Amino acid sequence: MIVKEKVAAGVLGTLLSAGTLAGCGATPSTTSSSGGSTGGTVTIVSLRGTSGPTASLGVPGNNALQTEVNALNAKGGLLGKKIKLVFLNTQGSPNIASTDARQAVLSYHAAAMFGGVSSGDGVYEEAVAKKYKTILFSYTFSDAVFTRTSDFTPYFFSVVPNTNMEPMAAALAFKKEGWTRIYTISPNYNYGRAEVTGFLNALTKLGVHYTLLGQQWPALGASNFTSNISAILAAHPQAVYGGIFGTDLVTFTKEAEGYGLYNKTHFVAQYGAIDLQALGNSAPYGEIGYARGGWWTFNNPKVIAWAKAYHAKYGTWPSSFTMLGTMAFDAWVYGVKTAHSFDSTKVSQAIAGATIPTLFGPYTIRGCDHQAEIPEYIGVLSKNPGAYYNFATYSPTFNASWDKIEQGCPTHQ
Amino acid sequence: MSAGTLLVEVLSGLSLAAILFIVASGMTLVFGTMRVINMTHGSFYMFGAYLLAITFHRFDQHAFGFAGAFVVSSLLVAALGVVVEFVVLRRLYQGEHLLQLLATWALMLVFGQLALDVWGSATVTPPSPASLSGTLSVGAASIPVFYVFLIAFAAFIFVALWFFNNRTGVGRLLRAAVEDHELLTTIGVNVRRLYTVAFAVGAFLAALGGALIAPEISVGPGIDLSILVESFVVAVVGGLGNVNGAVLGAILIGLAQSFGATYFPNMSEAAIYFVMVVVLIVRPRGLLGKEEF
Repeated sequence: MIVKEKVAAGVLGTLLSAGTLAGCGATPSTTSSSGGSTGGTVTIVSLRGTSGPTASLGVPGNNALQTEVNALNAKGGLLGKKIKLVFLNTQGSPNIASTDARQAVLSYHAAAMFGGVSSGDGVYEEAVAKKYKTILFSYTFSDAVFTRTSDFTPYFFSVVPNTNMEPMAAALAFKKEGWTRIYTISPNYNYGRAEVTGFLNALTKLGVHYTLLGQQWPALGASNFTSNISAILAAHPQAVYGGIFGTDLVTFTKEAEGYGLYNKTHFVAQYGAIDLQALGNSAPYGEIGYARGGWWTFNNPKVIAWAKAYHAKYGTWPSSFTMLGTMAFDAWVYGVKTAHSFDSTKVSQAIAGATIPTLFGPYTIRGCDHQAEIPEYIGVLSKNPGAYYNFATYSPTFNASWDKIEQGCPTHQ
Repeated sequence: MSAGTLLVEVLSGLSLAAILFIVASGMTLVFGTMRVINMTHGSFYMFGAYLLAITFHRFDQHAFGFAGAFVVSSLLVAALGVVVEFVVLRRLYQGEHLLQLLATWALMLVFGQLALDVWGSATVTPPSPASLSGTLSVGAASIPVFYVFLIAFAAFIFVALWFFNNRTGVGRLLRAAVEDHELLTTIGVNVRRLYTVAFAVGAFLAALGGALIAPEISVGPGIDLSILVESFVVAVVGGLGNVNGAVLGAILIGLAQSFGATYFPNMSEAAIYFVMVVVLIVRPRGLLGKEEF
């Protein structure tokens, strides 16, 4: 083979393999995880992408867990044991997430896992949790399939609005504004697809007679979105629903501004604290943002102190996932204390149906599918010069409380 | 489709092509000269973008300040390219090509982690240069002034590369290396130094692409891999080793992305790979690639 073809074939193989999903088998376990209890410590594992395109979502979650673990250990630990927190970097890659999750159970004997960033990771992490009967919390990946299909496992808990709840919040805004000629843009993987499906179903459920003018499915982590933006503009929609998030959303926003998209249509997307910090004064004021953990909308002095302490330590404001990670950790601590055990089965039983006290107020984890009964935060992006943080806020807000966005229990039970 | 919309689609595709060409031309230049597929090329792009974010604040926020910032950023990355070539690649030229590939892949991972450690996980969003912001209206259609600038600048880079390759001694030697690098050795040319120059120019172009687009994107972890894949596709479509081919490849891929998003939105992500497959079936060495490699 000529040299060029050899090299090109090798590179193609390498590049393609980097994006290939792989699931691997492993020896099944029949016993519930009782935790890597070694002497006076017990191990929990955080499975997050802390490099690659999901790092901006992964790191703030790890920071939340580390903060909580430090505070807990400073008070003597849990059931007399210190908590050891291990970080495994999934690199935003589902096959690495799969390997990491098995490593968490088999090597670290994790008492609990705090799951990854993308639903692509979550597919493998939930499978590991189910197979090895080890408790797994998601406070970021949110595909509704994790709690609403036959794959459901009692060891999985969703402390994040799922892909039916979150788009319902956006749909409520669409209904209120009277937008019916719509367009969607969402990343091309299971979360992105599920989010848009959830949104369209929500519109139908709300009785909105919409016309879908088109849909864009850019790759997660795409280097640019100009082709998607020009396609959206060509369709002249009344409003656009954006399932894109993180760095993709920030890039999209900057590019869309140049094309005058915000003067020609309305845009509703997941503008959380991290995105709004990154955008600064480039935030698309007047458009609608939604977030899973809107800590900055709280006026509670304890929440403000928590946010300021985080900012002082990490030099950046918390993300939605810092808040939700804290709430997920609180749920596990509650379960361990209630069960008087680190055993995943006992902890799971203790959490299901329980109301968890947290800094952000109490919330209940529904017994039927282990979905946390939490709201989505949504509102118009507005300047907020008097705020203690330096990014756009939601004002006015829309009501997307749990009772507005919840679904009935699934039928898998 | 109205004429205005068509114009936006074309200009949007060409603005994509502009960055892809600048980055891919560096990759194809390195491959043509050294027969190395440089997987750190995306890292150089990423560093260019990060350095622009840092240096732009030190210049005025207009076009000249932006020019100063992206030149400085690109030169710094070119210097890093020299270090990489000297410390790593120079020891691997006698080995298998796969070894070079793996070494640069490993370096890409190291650089990715380094960027994360230095700049953190949060994204950086450099401001757009004031005199290049705004929208250019053509009838009912509008396109960002910045993208028109990118298209014009890519054309300038193409001309500059042509001049460098055809009117300078080093450029002629680089072209000669593309044609027959073994012959160069036999006539006494310091091929190692030539390789260093080629790699530095390649790194410069990658960083230039990153620095140029930085004001329009969120600069953060992961931008290295996405551009690496796209620029590799462009280089393959154009013909590995051929800068003129990189122009054609970039335009083809840019337009495929732009029109693919409009007409085949469900498959637009695969549009560039579809183009690559078709080109490779019809012409396995790429549009302007040569047979003799």
